[in-house]
Amino acid sequence: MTATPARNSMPLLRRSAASAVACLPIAALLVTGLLLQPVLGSEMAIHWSGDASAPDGLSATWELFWAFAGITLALTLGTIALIMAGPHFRSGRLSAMITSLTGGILATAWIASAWATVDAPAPAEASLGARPIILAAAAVVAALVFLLTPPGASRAIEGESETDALELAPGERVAWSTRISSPLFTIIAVALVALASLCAIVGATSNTGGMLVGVVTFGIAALSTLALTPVQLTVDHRGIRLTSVILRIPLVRVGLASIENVTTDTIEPGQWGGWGYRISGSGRAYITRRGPGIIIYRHNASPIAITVPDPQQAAATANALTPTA
Amino acid sequence: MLIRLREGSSASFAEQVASQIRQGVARGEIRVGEKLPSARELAASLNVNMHTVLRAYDSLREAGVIELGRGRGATVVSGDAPGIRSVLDSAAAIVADAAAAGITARELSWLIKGMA
Repeated sequence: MTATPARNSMPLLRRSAASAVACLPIAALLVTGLLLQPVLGSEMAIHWSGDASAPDGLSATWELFWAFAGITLALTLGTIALIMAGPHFRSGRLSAMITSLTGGILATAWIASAWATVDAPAPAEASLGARPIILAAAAVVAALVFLLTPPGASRAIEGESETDALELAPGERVAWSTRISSPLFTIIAVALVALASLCAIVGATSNTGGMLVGVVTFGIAALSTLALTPVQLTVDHRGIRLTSVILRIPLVRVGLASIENVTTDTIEPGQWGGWGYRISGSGRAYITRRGPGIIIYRHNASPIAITVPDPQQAAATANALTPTA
Repeated sequence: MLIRLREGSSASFAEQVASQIRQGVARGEIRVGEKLPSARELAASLNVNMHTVLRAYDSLREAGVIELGRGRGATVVSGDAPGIRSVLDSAAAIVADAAAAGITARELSWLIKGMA
């Protein structure tokens, strides 16, 4: 009754402090814009060359300012939303740090360019000099946001559980299958196809040979991502198979004889090396999200984890078909 | 999607496949828009002839439960068709009552067949 209220108010205080810190980049951008308004002309230096000694191009000052301010404001609001959602969003503070860092880089980039423009006799003669050092302020703000935001509470994780085998009548045939899709993988694949196409178009129109590298790189990345969604998971007399529906590539193929046991669990991407098709010290895994899945334990081999919305029937079917020693 | 085929059943393998897919759809375990495995894949999974699965898919298409694409794909197009769910609930109740009365599944099957 004595210390509890104070302890309960601590996370709120920390989240409020983190939100206040998250507002610093947009505040700095707005204040700088206000202060430099009398001295900034209609054009400002932007698009800096490699050594930042001269600008590659000029932009309309205030159109650029409002574009940067709009994006930074949106990122700031997103950061605050992530900070406040902390208890309900496990990786909230990491996401908040990333959005804060992005907004901070945008704000400081405009400030550095505007500052360089004001100090030069003409926008075309501006030199960034050591001003990019203020981008470090964005990193400091993002680090503070991360440190001040309390870690999100982990959702209750169902422990790994043994699944009873289906009871099969003598001679009964059984097969279980489902199709697993990941909207995130689909979006990434579409974006990569678009980038490969863009490289191909730019390469063809500008006759730039270097774009071929982009076409190949993005093309391979797109195909690799397309192989991951949608996939068909099948459990039958042949064993457990995970196959890419589009590319028809088998991602996982485990014969019944090599299966020791199949259990269900909440699959944590962090424990299996992340999202997608992973090979790590824990074993192999196909992971679309943090959530329910099956873990295939094999004789004398590392386990395999697969996220699947309804893992109980898959595990029960596999355990029914697996020959008992 | 779980499919179980019993050798001694009075229903053919094709009827068992169609019936279980229909039940899965009615229960919401198989959603509208979901793509079913191709006939070749499902036949290999169940170790039956592909024509058995094709017959099952054909009857489901005629019942308006699935749509067969020009290729191999079968897509569920009809959700919980009116009446199917109540028939399933009634059937479950009859099976439970029959078990309580000592009537075996085979006897119950013959009883129902005689009424149809």
